[in-house]
Order: sequence, then structure tokens, then C-alpha cells
Amino acid sequence: MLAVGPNGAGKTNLLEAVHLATQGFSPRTRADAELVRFGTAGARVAVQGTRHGTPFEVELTIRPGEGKRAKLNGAALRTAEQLRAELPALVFTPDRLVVVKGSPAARRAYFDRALARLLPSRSSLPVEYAAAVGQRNAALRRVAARLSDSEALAPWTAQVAELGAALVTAREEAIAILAPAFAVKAAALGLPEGRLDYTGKVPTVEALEARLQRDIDRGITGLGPHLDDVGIRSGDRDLRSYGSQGEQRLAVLSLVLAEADCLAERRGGGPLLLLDDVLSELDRTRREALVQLLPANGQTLMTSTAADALAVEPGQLLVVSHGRVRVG
Amino acid sequence: MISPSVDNLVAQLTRLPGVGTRTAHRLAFHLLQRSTPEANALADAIREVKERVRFCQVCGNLTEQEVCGICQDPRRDRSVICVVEQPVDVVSVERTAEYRGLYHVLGGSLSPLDGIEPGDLRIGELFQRVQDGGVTEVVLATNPNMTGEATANYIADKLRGRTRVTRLASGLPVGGDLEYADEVTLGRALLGRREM
Repeated sequence: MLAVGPNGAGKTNLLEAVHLATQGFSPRTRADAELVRFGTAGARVAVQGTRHGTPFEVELTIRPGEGKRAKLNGAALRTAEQLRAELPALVFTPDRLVVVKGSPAARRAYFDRALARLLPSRSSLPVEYAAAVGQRNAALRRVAARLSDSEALAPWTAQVAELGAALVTAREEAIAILAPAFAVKAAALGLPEGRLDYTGKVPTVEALEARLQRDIDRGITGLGPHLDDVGIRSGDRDLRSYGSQGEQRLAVLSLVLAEADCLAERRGGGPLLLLDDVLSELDRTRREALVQLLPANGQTLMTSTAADALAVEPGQLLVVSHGRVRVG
Repeated sequence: MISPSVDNLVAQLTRLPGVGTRTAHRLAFHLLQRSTPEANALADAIREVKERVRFCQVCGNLTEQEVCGICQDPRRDRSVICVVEQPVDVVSVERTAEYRGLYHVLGGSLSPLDGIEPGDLRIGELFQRVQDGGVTEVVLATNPNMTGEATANYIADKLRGRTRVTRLASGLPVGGDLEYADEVTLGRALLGRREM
């Protein structure tokens, strides 16, 4: 589907609403109160669709002070975030460029979310590992302040080592799944020899013990996958530092498309793709290439200011103006 | 602002776990509408538990005596100790009616972020009980979360070679459907699968 309309008509808003209804949160902000129109008591999104050939209905309401409530096929969910596991959706917005050109932290966060989607049974690992590092850092500072001794540190060193090793393995697996598909999508969009490089540093108990004094002095754990980075390359060129804005955009888009393919293959149904303002920066050849790369068994919703940006059937065109949508 | 004493009651109720301002208001108005003896019964019950209930000197469970009923019970197996975080966990394990050993209540789990270290829990007392002899197994039944696991690991390390140490398995809720199990729990259950 292609949603077209002038700037400020509400195209991104439509995308955001679909994301909210399928994932339980906005891709733009975690402050749900920002999603409620000024002067109104609450917000509501209802979505009907089919997945794996069976119909489903989602209804999500936000009332400031009461939080979010989501219903799937009429049954209330414990948390709105549970939707995420039910209805996979991937999003591209112009600010996603930080995945390539931003700090290592932004890349870790992105690939850890991909890990959670590709390896759902290990989706809690990044959070658990971060909590273990937080506890160990607190223990380090207590040792430095002489409130505690290094013996109290031992269980946290063990937790960081155990969860860190599991996280490195899970990230390696997730990136091994993504990398081949990334190369294919990047090549088709004109970015040759796309590569994802990840070498995780496993924080063994011995290695952590060896640098214990430095960690105590600094009050932080200086070894482990919370400091890792993922290399995004075209050939030998590192796109993080040497990619042009256009190449970085193609890399992010290739990542999203690669994950869509991997999810489609692993889950037996393509995810919903939400691509905001992706066409304006692509030339005609690449726009046509993009259409060919979209997952065949999933749905894609794109926004554009120009109706002629893509050749689509009339039924696939949504005209957005002044916050209203009609099928073109 | 209705009256200072109502405000005070609401403020006190808000300090309870799981009670927000709105619930606190509802509870306060409910109490105001009840008869005086009925409302006082709640106040008396609170005063009474605080006066009478204390921690068992042996296991740290709640009791009205020096030593709790479980520790005093001659029918219990004194060679097994089940280690839990809170007194309420004793109630849960007791409900199974499967466990006939003794307990040891730690009073929480290790969490340096909250300033909780081995010295703040009743871990030394546990080691002393093992030291005193006669204990052939320690069952670690701390919560299956990060701080619970770290606490279990710490105790297991310290007791290694001194007695048998076991940990509760994690897996699927019985009587449930696989369909409703979350991926993380199901993944753990798959890792811990057994031969049949």
C-alpha cells in the first residue's frame, strides 16, 4: 500500500497508528501520553486483518493515568507489548539512520531487538545481561567506597560471565541469520558486497577477575558484550564512518528487508513492513528494485509525498489529507 | 484535601505495595463508611501481628513463638533445608504437601543496586546450620529471576563440597497449554527436557 499526501497531512501518523496497534508501542516515543490528541480524554486504534489466512482484530486504547489496554480478538492482553510477539512488524523511518551512523549503543539496541524477533526464546537475554552488569557495577562502587568486599562481587561476576557468554552466542547466531540476506538486499539496491561483522567479547570469570582493580577504580565493568559493536560494511569500506548519507540509508533499508525475509522464512509468514518516507531519497531504478525486494507473503505500507513515486494499483493507493484517509 | 486525618490515612495506604492514590482513596472512604468496631478490627489486627509475630530464630520464617511450628515439628525431615527468599514462599512450597524438610528464609535476594549484600540476608545463619551437621541436602528455591539466580549461585558456591546442593527446575506450568506459554519459559523448558 502506498499512502500519499502533502507534508503534514497525517501519513506518518497513519503509520504510527498501525505500528501502535500491531506492536503495542509507538516507534517514535515511549511516552504514551504524547499519542493522545490535545484536549481529548484518550486515544484508540482498532485494526482488522488476516494472519496466516485467519482473521484477527486488535483494539488498543490509551487513557493518560490508566495506561494502555490491548485486546486481540476480543481477549484482553496482559500488556500491550505482548502484541509484538503476535504480529511482527518492522519499521523504517528517516531517523533510523542512527543504526548505521550513530553510536555503537544505537547499533547494539537495534541488533538486540532483531535478536529478540529472530530468536524469541532468548528475547529476554539483552535485558537480563544489562541488569547483571548494572548489579555488578553497583557492587564495584560499593567495594570502592569500602561498603563491601570483593567477595560480595563474586556472584555478579559469575552472572555477567554466564549471561554475557549467552548474549554473545545469541548475537552471533542472529547476525549469522541476517548477514546473507543483508548482502543480497544491499546488492540489489546498489550497495555491493554488504557485510555484517560481529566479534563479541565473552567476559569470562578469569578475564573479569584479571581486570578487577581497574573495574573497581572506574566503578564500571569494562569488558563484555555491552561494549560490542556491529560492523556494517560494503566490501572493505566501513559504512559507519565512510558511507555517504545515501549509502547509510540503503544499508538501513537492506537490514529491514533482510530481517523481513528471515522472519518470513522462520515464522512462515512475512512481517508487516512500515516504510516511512523511503522513496523520496531513491532514484527510479532503486525504487523499482525496492518493490521487487519486498517480501512476497507479507504486507508493506509506504508513505510518499508524490503519488507517482511508484506504479501501484488504484486499490493499493491511500490518499491522506487533513488527517483523513481514503482509498485512491 | 478533605480533612488532615483522611489525607493521612490515604498517605499511609499508598505506601502499601500495589496501592495507588485512587485505590487508597477508595479504601479510605470504605473504612469511613464502616461501623467503628469494624474499622477498629483492622487497626487491632495490624497492631496484633506487629506485637506477636516475629522471625523464627532457626529458619527466619514468621512465627508467634521463638521457634516456628515447622522447625519444632518432630515429623519433619531435619536433613533437608529448602532455601527461599520470603516467608510467603514457605507458604507456596507448603501448599504442595510434597516437601517434608525444613526451611531457611533469607529475607530477600542479593542486589547491590539496592544495597543488599550477603551480610544483609540470613546467609551466614544458613551456613551455620549446615556447619552444625546433619544436613544432607540444601534445595535452593530462590526466585527464577536474575537476583534470585545470583543468590542461588552464591550459596551453591559456598556450600560446594559441604553438602548436596540442588536448584528448583524451571519449566512449564502444569495443566496449561503450550499455546499460551511465553517463548522464554518454553525455551528454558526445551533446554531442560528429559529422557522418557
